[in-house]
Amino acid sequence: MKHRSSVPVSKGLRFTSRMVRGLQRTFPRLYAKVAKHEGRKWGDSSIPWTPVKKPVTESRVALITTGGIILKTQEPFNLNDPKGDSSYREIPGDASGEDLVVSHLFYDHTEVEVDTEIMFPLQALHTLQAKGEIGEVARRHFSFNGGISDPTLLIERHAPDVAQQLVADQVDLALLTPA
Amino acid sequence: MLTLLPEATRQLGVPRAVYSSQKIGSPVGRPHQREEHIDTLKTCLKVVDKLEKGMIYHTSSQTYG
Repeated sequence: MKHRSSVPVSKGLRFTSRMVRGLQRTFPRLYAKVAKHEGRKWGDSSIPWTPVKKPVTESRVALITTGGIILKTQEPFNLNDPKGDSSYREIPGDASGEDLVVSHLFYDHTEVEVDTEIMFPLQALHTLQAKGEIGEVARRHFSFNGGISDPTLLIERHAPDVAQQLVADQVDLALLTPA
Repeated sequence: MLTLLPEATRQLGVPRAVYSSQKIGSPVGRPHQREEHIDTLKTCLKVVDKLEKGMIYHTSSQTYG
């Protein structure tokens, strides 16, 4: 079964998407340099910091991904947004792999379509809870679409929204998996 | 954060990161390799209280930098 959300995208974006994925696959060092440049542009010299307050075995853990993972029933990300869609989707803690699809343009998600766990390891997290290696899986998790060329809205609105929801859910640790 | 691009992650000022040399698109491991996925999570969780501000743990060399 393919875990993929089909959304029509413009020819221009399809071309850009192919270029980016080709760069990742064929010239990974060059891609890493481009990513570093982008990081320098949007990075902040002040690093946020929250001390770890509990042992991992007592912690409530949430997942955050930029891999464009969504529920089949959710509206796909707007892949035609020229700035990149910086909105997010809430994924319930009891979602199964069969509930999830990928909605993203800027990485090769051939393998994620086969197994969403490689981007969003929710079942693995449940296994760690069952083994007593974490305290608890959070009741909800969050997914963003990557490939955001202008993260202003992400920084000013959507990321703070998610942070507030994690605080409200008394999440102790959040693990971000990237695309 | 689990990162595949450590230099970009450093530039962005991510507070805690674990660098894994998996390929872009499959940061946690290969499809249907559940033990591999669990190991990746365990590595991230194992170092969470050892990482200092802005530090990246390199899984291949098991070093902090």
